[in-house]
Amino acid sequence: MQSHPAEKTLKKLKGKIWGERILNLMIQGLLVSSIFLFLSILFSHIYPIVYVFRKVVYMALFILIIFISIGLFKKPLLQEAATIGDSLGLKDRLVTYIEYKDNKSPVVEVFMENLEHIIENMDIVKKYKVKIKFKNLLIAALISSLSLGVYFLPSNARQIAEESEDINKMIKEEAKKIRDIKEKKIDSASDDASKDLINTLEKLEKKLESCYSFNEAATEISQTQRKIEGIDVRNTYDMIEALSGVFNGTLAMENSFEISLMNDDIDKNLDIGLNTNFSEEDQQKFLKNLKKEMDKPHNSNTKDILKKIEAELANNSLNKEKLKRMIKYNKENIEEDTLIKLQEAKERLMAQDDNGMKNQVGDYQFSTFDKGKNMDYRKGEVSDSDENKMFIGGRGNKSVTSSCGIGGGHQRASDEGRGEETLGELDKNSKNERLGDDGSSVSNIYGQINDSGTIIHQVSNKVLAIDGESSILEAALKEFQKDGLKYVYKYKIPLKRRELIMDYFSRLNGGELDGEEIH
Amino acid sequence: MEKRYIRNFQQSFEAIEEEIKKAIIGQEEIVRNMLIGIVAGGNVLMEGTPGLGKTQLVKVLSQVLNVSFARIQFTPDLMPIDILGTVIVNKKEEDFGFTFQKGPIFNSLILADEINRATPKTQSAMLEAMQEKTITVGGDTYKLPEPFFVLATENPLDMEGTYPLPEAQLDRFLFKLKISIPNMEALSRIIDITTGKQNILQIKKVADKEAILKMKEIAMKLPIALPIKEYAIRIMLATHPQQSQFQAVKDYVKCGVSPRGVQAMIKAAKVRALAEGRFNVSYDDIEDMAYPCLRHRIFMNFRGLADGVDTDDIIKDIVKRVK
Repeated sequence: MQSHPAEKTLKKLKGKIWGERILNLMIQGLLVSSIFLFLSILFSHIYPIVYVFRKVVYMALFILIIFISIGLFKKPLLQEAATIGDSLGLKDRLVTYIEYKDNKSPVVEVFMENLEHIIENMDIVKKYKVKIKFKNLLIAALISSLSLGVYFLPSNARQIAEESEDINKMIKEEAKKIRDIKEKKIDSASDDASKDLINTLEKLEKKLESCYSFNEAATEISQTQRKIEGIDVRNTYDMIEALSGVFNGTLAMENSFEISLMNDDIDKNLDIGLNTNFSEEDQQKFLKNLKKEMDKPHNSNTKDILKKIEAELANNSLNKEKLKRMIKYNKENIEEDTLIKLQEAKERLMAQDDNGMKNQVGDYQFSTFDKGKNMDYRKGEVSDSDENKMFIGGRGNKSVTSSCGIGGGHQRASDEGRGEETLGELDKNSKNERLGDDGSSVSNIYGQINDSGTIIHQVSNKVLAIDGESSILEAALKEFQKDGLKYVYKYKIPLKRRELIMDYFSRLNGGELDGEEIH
Repeated sequence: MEKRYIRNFQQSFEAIEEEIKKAIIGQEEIVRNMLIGIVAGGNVLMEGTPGLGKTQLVKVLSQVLNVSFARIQFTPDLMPIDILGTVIVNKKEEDFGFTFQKGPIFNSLILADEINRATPKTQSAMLEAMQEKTITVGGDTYKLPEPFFVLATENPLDMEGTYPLPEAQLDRFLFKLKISIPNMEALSRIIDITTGKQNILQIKKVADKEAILKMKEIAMKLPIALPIKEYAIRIMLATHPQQSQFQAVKDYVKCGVSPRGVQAMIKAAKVRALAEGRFNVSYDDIEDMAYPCLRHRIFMNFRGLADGVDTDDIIKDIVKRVK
């Protein structure tokens, strides 16, 4: 049955009204967005907001999308279209049509014929003019332009925000490196521990991306390091438990074996803990214990080792060397390299921190050139005659980058050192002799050194700097060592590590410990 | 019902209107509303000073429609039997019998002139007949002719010794029309016709009672959309001081329009729509018919009467703001 022309007209009119509505709502959205943009940018000059422009633009787009969505959902009803159509000269015919379209009485039929005739002669859809609120659009454009202008006005809050943004960008660079580490792990992830690690790194990456201070970022990295060490510890304990279970109650097991295992130095203590060869009877007992251990809920890492041990036991071919190799291999899986990379990232971030490091007279100086302080960097060689003195060119016989991990009075220790049985945090410090003419304010010199030690073909970048004090490496080093040791002694050093640390610092100090010889 | 009658409604209506306008000059709106009233099946109350052509109007109308016409001049001593008729004794040969002698009310078009001069008893006899369309006399019921239309007039000048129609009786009239003095041009033409310079045109019979009844039937079946119906109802409700949001209504109106008022508006609006060549009722029809239908159904309180507030002003305010 052919539909009445009024039906088509109403549908077209409805579509036109809908389009107009969406357009006007979009303009309204633009107006609201522009006002929001302006107010936000104005506010950002009072209170620092990082990435304000980007955030505000996203928010403005979101507002615009909301308005457009409202328009899409607010589809006009047929009745509404009829009312609008009638207002164009149809004298309420469309409204009557909607109600009586199914009525077949003679009067209504005549009405329908009359309506058809009128619609054919009057294009209602064309007659309906879409009204665009250009005024609102203009106002929105004006406010947006004003916002842009206001954005570029200088203010303290904006400056602070920009600085935070710069810091965040630098931290994001570190986050990218974390992501690379994570992606490498994904390729080789096979067990629960690796998956835990990947999750931890992913969380760290996300947290770093939202950090706006180096200190905060360094803290996040420290927390992640703790978590990874925790994963490591859990793995180790699980393995210890399993191995203790396997070797328990056998002659091969020394009393101190378990304690040695607990010292987290399994491969070394295997020499102490176990007899050299395992008898057949021992191996059978190991196998029996092993089967019991396999039924227990150990992690996949531990189960791997147990399977390998099982395979060897099945051939009666297990010995201490093979066992040591298996455990060592497993230990190598432990995320030592990840921890090191995280430590490096943390140190890089802390070096970027505003407070920098103390110089000889106790003032803070920045660790980077672009802060305008007097720093230079060189790679040199350590002289044979004096380990601590650096020379350029061919006098030395072992090259070193002066990067003693000593806390040079840097106040920003990581949080991990406080109250925990871990190593205290040490800052790296590169302190080098200055090249170039005395009194020159040029720094950051790259060039070749001739035999006499002068720079040739130098490329120097003038930066804003003031002449700093020229520090002799030895004096600075001594100061850092002294302060570093004080810093180290602030923290509780675990017994098992005390000897190592003492040994370490004594080597650094040239055999002295805080000015006193070590005994 | 044949569609051609429906399609030709406007033509028929305009033909009647044009014919009446030949004799009644300068009262186009009154003529149109009168015709609407007749087709809608109602009665009309007209207010106007003497000599404005009310009798002539009804006379011409009866000629054009070829229906019987009677004029009743209401006086204070007029009795109901003078209007309705009475039973008279009739001698037939040797027997006496009673015959009902029909009164002037047994005509299609009645002019009830100065109805406010008659006593309430006589008024109510007339009005009851208007309402019921039947007369009961001596135990017998007599049907009034179809179409039956009463044009009642009220003289606004001579109020002394008169009996103003009560509210309940006023409600029975479909319309209240206010006839005013014609303009200069119209008066000039009237004088030319009545004082001999120009001969009055012969009024032709253009329609008959069947045509009027057919038109009435068509009008009753005309479609009206719900929003428009609701508009009429909202107007009526707005006239009641208890429900109205209009301050003027709250201040000046004692009693608002009854449901009969809405019925009258819609009936009249349907006829108006057809008269304009449309086959549906529009908001404009309701708006236009609100004044004649409602002005005699809104009753002012003392304050309204004292302040001389016109019901037309209240209706105007309501009609615009309710839309």
